[in-house]
Amino acid sequence: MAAPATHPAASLDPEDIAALLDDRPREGIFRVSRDAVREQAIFDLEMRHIFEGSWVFLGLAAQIPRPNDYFATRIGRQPVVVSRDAGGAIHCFVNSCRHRGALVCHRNAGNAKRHTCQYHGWVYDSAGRCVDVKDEKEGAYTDAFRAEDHGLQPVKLGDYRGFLFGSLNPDVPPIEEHLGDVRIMLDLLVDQSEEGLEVVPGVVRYTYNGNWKLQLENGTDPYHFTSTHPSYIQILGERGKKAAGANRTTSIYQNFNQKSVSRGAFCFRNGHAAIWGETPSSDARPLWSRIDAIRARVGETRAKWMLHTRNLTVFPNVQFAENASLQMRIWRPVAPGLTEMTTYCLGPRGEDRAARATRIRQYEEFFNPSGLATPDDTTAYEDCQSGNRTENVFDWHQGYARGLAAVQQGPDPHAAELGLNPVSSILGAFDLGDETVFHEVYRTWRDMLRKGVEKDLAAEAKAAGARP
Amino acid sequence: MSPDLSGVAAQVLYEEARRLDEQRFEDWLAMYAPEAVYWVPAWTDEGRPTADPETELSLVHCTREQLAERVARVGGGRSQASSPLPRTAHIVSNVMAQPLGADRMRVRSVATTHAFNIKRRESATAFALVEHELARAGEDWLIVRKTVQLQNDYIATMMDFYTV
Repeated sequence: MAAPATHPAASLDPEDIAALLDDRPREGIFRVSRDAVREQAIFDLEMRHIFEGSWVFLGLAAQIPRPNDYFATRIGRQPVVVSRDAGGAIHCFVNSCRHRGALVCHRNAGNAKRHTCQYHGWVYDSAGRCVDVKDEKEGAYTDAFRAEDHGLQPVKLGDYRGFLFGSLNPDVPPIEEHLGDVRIMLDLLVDQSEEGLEVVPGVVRYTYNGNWKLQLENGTDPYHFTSTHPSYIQILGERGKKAAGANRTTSIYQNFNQKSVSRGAFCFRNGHAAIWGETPSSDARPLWSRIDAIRARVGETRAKWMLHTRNLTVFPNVQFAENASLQMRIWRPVAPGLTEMTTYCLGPRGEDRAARATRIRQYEEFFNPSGLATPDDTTAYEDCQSGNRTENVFDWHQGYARGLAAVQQGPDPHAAELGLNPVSSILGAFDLGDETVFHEVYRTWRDMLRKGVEKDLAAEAKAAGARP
Repeated sequence: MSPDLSGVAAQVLYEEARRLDEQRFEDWLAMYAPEAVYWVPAWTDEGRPTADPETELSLVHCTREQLAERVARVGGGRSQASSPLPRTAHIVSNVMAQPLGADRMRVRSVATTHAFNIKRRESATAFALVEHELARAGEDWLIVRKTVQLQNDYIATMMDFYTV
């Protein structure tokens, strides 16, 4: 199946893409154009060359534990299904009947041995194979038709320890190579239990009127916390005062003291990034009740890192945020100024009932769009989108400069103790509010767009040369 | 179903809605008993509302103490999601009450809430199947439990106690 040689999105040339970043490390300058969040032409290129041109996160194998379990999602604009077949193998295929393109899977998740297109009745099994072309014998088909594969189109699937990724472009490096050292950060999630992770039942979906990169940045942005969330910090402070009398800890942030807490960040290859910090009150972590067994199993260093707060971005579309609880947040860009969020609470399998309830309550009040923190974030994204409206107001965003005078190339001792080899590392007081953590994200973003445009232009030139 | 009781229950629900729409949140909170539980279940990907808040996710699961925190947050001016506060209109209908002994009742209703986001100049609608458990307190009825099953759980930016 040959891709079309021309496409509608090549309105920007490689120089336009390069001009979206002002990246001069030797001069201590890193700036991002306002166009990055508002331009339809850039959004179209992001869809084509990032979300539909490389690996994106789909979900967890733990969401489909039994044979014939499935969930439906999208890669970029394209609906896909992730399905465990009758034999237990996981597949990803395009959620679109081969007959006329209708969706064959209509629910978010479920269990089905067969997926039947409701339009003309073609039937597919849980491995995506076409098992019935309705009235095939009577259909006067040719041999040429019968020689075609009628199965749902397969999507390249990557499975790293149950973290499932898909790519509509089959020409991508192996998933292990794409993830690189991020695998070590994912291991810190899986290995909290010998039985791995599970999804707490219940999904929360919401939208915000802002660009997807605003969420991507927010997840590793320590600078906003004190100014965006004072109402939440105030509530925690009041609870702390009440609990002090009762001698109990109610939140990991209860003993939150900006001066004593340090925060670090890592930039990884391929646009991945992480921030981390020591937990002010480890005993409020759901993990705390089992920490001795965890230390014995994974060692002191990794157990310590499991108790650190860690926010991890796996470029381009998922974050794992572990602080008061553990959130998996997946975003889907809908338009330059509209993003859909799909969010889940995760926990280690086998967690005791009290710890699980604590995990869920802390999750709800921190992460939910109906909670005490996230609404103030999403409202801020919308304010950003509103303030970045027209190309006639142009300047560089100045919000990528914090930490530039302190960031070091390669691993710092904290990265090294975990076996990480990041592109850059930084550590400082809580008030450092590092912003260098975004730099590799944007370099990767720019390079993927630029290479994509160059490839399309070369294909167009070749096609033009072939025409008489 | 008891028609007389349903009439009494409707007055309580209308009063609750009125206090929310007039942004009299302290007065709204006063309608809740000290042991009250306020619950908005989430939905699963398979399409059922979650049933056990201890093992499954909720959109909101609050004690009265935590509702009081929310009221303080909304009124405190330090939450940009709550400032300026959306204007709302709560429409309560299909009220059906069942007695649970002499001093308690379970009330089912349907609620449509319109919320106007002043900053964005946009309106959103939430519609829900609601269940209240009311307990007599002298002349009044207090809310001891409210469960809001949000039927359109595809949330535009944010939700809070005053938008459902």
